[in-house]
Amino acid sequence: MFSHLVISIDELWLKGKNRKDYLRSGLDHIAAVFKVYHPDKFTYKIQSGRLYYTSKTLFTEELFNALTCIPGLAYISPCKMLDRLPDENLENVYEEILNGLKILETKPVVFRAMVKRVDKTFSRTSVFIGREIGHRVITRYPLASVDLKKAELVIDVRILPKHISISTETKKGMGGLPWGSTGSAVTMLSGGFDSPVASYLMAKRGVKQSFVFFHAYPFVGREVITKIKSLAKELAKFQRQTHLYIVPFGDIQNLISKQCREEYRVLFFRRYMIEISNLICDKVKADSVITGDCIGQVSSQTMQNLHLIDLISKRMILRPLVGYNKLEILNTATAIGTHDISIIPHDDACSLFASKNPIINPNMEYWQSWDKDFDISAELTVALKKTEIFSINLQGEFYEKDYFSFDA
Amino acid sequence: MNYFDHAASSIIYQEVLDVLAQSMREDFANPSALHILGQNLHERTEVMREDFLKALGASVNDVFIFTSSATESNNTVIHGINLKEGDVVVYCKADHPSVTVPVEHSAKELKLELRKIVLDKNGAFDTDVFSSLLDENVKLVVLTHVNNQSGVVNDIASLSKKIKEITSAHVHVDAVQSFGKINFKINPEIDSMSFTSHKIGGPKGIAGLYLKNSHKIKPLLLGGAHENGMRSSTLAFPLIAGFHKAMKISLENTGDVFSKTARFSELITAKLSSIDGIQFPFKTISPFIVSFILPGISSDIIMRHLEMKNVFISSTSACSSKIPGFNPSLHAMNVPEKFHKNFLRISLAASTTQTEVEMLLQEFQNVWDNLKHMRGR
Repeated sequence: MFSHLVISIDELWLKGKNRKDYLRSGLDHIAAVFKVYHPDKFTYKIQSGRLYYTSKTLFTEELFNALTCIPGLAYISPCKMLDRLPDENLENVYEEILNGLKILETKPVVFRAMVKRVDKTFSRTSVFIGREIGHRVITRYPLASVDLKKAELVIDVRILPKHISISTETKKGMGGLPWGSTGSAVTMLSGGFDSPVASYLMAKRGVKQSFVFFHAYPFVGREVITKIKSLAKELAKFQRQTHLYIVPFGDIQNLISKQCREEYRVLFFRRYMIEISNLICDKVKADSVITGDCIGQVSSQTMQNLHLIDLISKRMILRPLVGYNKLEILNTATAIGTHDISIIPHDDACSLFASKNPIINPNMEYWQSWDKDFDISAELTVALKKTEIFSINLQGEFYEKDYFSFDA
Repeated sequence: MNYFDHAASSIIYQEVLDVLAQSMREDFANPSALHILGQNLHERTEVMREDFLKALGASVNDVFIFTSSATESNNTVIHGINLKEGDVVVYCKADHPSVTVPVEHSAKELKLELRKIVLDKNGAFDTDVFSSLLDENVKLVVLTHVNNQSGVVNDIASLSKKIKEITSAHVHVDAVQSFGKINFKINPEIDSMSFTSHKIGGPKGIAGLYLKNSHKIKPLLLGGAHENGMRSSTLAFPLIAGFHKAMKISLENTGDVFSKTARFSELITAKLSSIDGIQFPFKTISPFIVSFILPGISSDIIMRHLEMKNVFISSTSACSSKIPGFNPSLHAMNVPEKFHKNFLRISLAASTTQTEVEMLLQEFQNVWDNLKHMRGR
């Protein structure tokens, strides 16, 4: 628990004129997290690319953890702010550092000191101060050792105009770009391992998302909804706020499967899922569609099949997993907390209808002639009208249920 | 509403609701209280208890304990009869989990020997094999009167007699699916029997356990020594009154209801038989249960299509596509594993009407016509 926090924004250095906007998005998201996890008063200032947050009440571990899920933040470190003593006296700084490292009494830890003079008028050099810290730490804690490259503990000291900040614990943030700074998307969730990881990767790149699930009731039960809600809850922590759309899809699947060649069923299911996702994009003014597609993973993910899907999508389809191996996907899923939800078995209507020999190299003529005698635009509208919309806040709480509004 | 899942839980009788409402309002006192309000409730409870014993054809000196569920009744017996290391328990894997789970749990804890009753291809007892399981080391035999999934009726009178010819083992019968539906009297070879209220139009949360007088059972719940120390807990008087009313109504016209239900289940079986590939694997079944295998389409898909038409039947479990559907109970009934996902149960009750049955058959046909193109997956 700490009353000071230092946050550094990732990739801000890449930005030129639009730097202000990126910073604003990041600050707004941080403010939203503070509102939930630290309702008490706090102040912040921006100094040389870092954000310093201060409060008279303690910052909690929950706040700390929530901040690590905000896209665009590079590092979050709780820190101590000391007043600068007269005559460049650093005794209080050394004392504070040594007292804060009691863990070194019993544990051999490799460390290094990283000192930066933000206030260049300070006459003693960073190297000098760093050496002094290293020397004092080793003298007090003989188990500790210095290694600039392999350090597990970094003692970060910054000489600011009026204060000196010390931080010995740094958590890596999510990195990337602030929420919503690069656009918005509708992310297709299936209940498997891939789509949540895809969502996470695009969240990292600043894409504001809402989620869509195609529920093939009555071919699958309602149990799967519980699972999808749990996944959306986990993914919501990387969004400032989000929505989950549950689209009834069973009737559409049955219609398609009665009409089309058996080996094309799954391909056509996906086509209409993309179409509906695009319709939702229209409704919520989203820029793109995100899927968990991965090249060659299953038969519907051949290049030829993905290409056909691209042809019918009005919007760009983002597929951040195309180059991922399954194991890489699973590892990321574990890291972001969705693995153990995805692994719960659930009914899957696609495999239920799927042909034993699904098409991998589709016939373009058949695909293009399909529309001529198969028009289900009315059914798509009905599905959209029956779509349940759940609003989710950044704590993952489902706080409202609604439906899309349509002009009479 | 076309409800055909009475074997899971039935619709409460209006008369029972009236009794419950009145009793909840007026009979608020504690039946153990020493004042006149409590004493009155106590006396009324004892009258109802005797009614249950009489309904079973048991002696009024036998014991009828009110419990919270048939699961509790079964557990009370299995945990309460003082089984020791090396004792043998005979049971059937096709039985309800409230029998199989506590039996297998006790076997692990106490190092009991388990012997499983083998069923023939019709889901009935293989009597020769059954006899071979019995010897004087057997301390508990658990029988199910009517199996909740197959509907197979076991001849508990002759089976219990056979057991007692060979061993003095405790004979426990789960009569949840037969009590109030099939006419029967308890015979002296049966030591204990479980019943429940919500399968015969009574409220949930109340059930019964019959115990032959001479038996001492170690209680599951200790406390204020209610039910003669056999089950401590304040008596749920209104629920007991509701259960009693449901029992009275059910037993008043068991005969008429039985023959009406038999007609319905024959009609259902006859009509469904026209579906290509349908199988009715079980013989000697209760008319209240019609269960069958419909290969080709996962049973939960059919169940949900029917529910959309306001027709409610039971599928084994949510188990389409990726979820393996192995069902130990069906396995014990010799249903091949590949059909476990294709098992459906229609169950009826006294309240079932001709219109409902017709509705069921019509909607079943519609759903089947709509789905048969999916067969084979």
